[in-house]
Amino acid sequence: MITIDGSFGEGGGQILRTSLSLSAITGQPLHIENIRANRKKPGLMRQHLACVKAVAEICHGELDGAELNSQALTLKPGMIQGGDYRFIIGSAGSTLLLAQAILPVLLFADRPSRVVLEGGTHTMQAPIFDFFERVYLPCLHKMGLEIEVSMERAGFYPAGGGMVVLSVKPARVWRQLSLIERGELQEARVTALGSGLDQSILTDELKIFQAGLAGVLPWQALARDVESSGSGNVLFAELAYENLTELFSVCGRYGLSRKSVAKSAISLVKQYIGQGWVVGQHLADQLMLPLALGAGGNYLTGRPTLHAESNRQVIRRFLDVKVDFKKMSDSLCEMEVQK
Amino acid sequence: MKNIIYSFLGTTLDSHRRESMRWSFWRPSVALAMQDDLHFDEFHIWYQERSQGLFDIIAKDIQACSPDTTVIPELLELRDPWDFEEVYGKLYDFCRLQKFIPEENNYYIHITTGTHVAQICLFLLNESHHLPGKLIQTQPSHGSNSTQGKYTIIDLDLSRYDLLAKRFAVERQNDLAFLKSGIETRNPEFNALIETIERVAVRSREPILLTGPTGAGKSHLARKIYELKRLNRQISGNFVDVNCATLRGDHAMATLFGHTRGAFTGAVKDRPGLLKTADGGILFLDEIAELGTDEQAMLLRAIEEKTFLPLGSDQETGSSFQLICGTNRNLTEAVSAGKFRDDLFQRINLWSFRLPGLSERREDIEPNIEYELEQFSRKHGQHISFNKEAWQIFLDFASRHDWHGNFRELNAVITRLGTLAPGGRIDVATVRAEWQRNRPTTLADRDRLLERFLGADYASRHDTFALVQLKEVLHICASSKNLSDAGRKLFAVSRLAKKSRNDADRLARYLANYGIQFADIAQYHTVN
Repeated sequence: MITIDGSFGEGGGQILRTSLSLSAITGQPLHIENIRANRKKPGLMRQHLACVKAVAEICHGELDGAELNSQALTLKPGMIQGGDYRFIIGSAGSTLLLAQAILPVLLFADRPSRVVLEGGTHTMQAPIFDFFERVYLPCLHKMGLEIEVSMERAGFYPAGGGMVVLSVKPARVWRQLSLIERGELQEARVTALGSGLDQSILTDELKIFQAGLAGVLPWQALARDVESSGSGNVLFAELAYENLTELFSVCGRYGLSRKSVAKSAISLVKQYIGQGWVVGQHLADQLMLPLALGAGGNYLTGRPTLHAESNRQVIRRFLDVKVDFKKMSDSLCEMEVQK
Repeated sequence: MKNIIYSFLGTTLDSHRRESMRWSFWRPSVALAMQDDLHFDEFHIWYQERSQGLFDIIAKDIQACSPDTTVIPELLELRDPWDFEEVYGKLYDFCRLQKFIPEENNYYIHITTGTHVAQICLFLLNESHHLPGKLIQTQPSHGSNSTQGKYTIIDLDLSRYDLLAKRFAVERQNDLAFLKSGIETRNPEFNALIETIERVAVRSREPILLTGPTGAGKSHLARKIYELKRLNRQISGNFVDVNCATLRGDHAMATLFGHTRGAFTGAVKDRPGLLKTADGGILFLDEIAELGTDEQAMLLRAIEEKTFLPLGSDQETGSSFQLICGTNRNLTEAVSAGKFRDDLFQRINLWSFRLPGLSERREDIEPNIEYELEQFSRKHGQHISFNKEAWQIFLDFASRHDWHGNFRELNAVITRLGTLAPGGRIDVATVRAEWQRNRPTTLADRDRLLERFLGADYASRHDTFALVQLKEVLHICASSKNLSDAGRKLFAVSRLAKKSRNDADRLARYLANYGIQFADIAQYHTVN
């Protein structure tokens, strides 16, 4: 049994999700304690519990301590079974964070899977659907994996009600992934996504964003109205390079001005370009596990975040791999995973 | 364990003028379904038919936020949601119909929605355990979670709050000390008894029965219970203390239940009676066994229905008092003997406490002496104390003494010591004098028996040898029911060996030698 201190590093949901995935994949029983111990509301919240239960269902795992607010959890994983699944997350919890936890597991299943996820698709403190579809998945495709995703309906905080369909085929070949250079910029696009909102909110956000980044890049702007059970707004900027696409998003909400939303997006883009990162911080956190499970690889990113550090520790507990951060400059670092 | 919540539909707070914008605002019912660390399996919503539209929206939105929550509609028609009687009645009926199983489910009662009257009713029903569970309160918050807001769980079980529990423990200790008049009693049984009495006194308005030997402090405790309840603002009326032995005939009825003018000779004006005087307070009936049967019947009715008929009046009057009864008699025996009504006994025997005599709690004698001494000093404005040697001698005496008169006797002893103490200091001589005074009491009684039956000059007419025996024989006769009873006691050993038992004869003949008849002794005894 592998025991993980859930309060280590970022000490939140990330360490939990990575541990769950690895336990299911390696078949090693997991005991995780001090779950989110240093958070204002410690223990398993509803969205975490949804991840725990989903992973356990897929791997026929036995659970102990899988209760709301529980700070200790044991998973005794069994056989990973592919097939059709449907997971519903309350409280507009992110379907993408759940997808992030179960996707690696499904790569080791006995057959292809089709998973329907209901909940939030564009929520704060989680990757938005567009990031998952156009940034994360293409990287996995490059590694030889066959994964499809589609969004049937958008789900915003707090109403949720979104639907995402994830199709995963078991991994057959693993290729190394190397992202050391961005390559040529092919397209810069900014999208203001809205549901049930005044159109002017979207156009204003785009205008302010473009004005703020005028002269840096020529932006294609798009205001998109989507159907959803609640109202919601996200502004996101995509930079499609030859070797990868990066995406930066800011969620709008009641009480936050259009200007603030646009300004936050601007600073995220400026930071990425200015620091010279190839792989942005969020993508860097998420790529580490697939690389460790597969054939390894490397990428150029910023200084390791707490998320990256805790991921590295958890991975090394379960897998015999070498994960190194090589400091290239004050703002740059090369992350290398070696089998 | 299932989590089940009951909540009113918030016709104001849950609704929003622009339906399309509703997700941008805090709506308490929906916000409850959004909490990250809270999950409900069942969400019961009370609403009225005219709010069906709003209910449908809220139910749908709760489901969206929490797909595995079942929303259960609870139609509750209220003509006036601000009418306390109606709201309480309807909710009470609702609760009666529910099968609450607190061992299997966690119940929550949301009090943020609904009128303030509804909140009060929910609170009362929760407090009285008709609606079990924890109260939950929601409120909006600022920042990124504004639609979700915050929630607080309120458990009305005050003992769960450390700070409050500490405070209550201190207050409870104070109450206990109060009932014990601040005397630090050491007898564990007595302390446990007082703890129970305190709990009953604070929580109950039902009759209390205090039994125990004379002077054990029944009347004192009854007054202390009254004072404690007054301090806790549980009663506002008077403390009425009646000794039933002093109530006789018509006078008894009138004293207790009052009378109208002209009800009987001498009734020159209306008199409310003691029961009426005790309205809102405590009526202490000491020596309840002595109460006449008519008065017993009236009293029973007065306790059960809180009404009675004053003498000579054709109009019932009401009085709501708490009854405390005291007796040193065995009421069960009085009931068997037909002297005390069984129904009244059953009614007053609900909380029955037997106060032990002083000799049953010897470890408490010392603190009680100190208490009596302090009381005496306070009353006379003079500090009275024992010198060290006298204290030792007195304690030694007190711990062996049988204290028949209990606290009344102790009080008398201390009063005598305190009064006689030279310069406020009780010395060995004073203690010895008191001790001597106590010891010969019984001997003196016996000498009085000789004097009565042999004449004042008995010492000059009989040998001491004979007097010693006669004295004891007379004493035993005086405490026996009849001649045979006395004979059995006096010849207890020799009668075992005999075939025929003519102890009574033998005793009669012995007494006859001195010209004494058993009947005379028995008569003397009843007179004295």
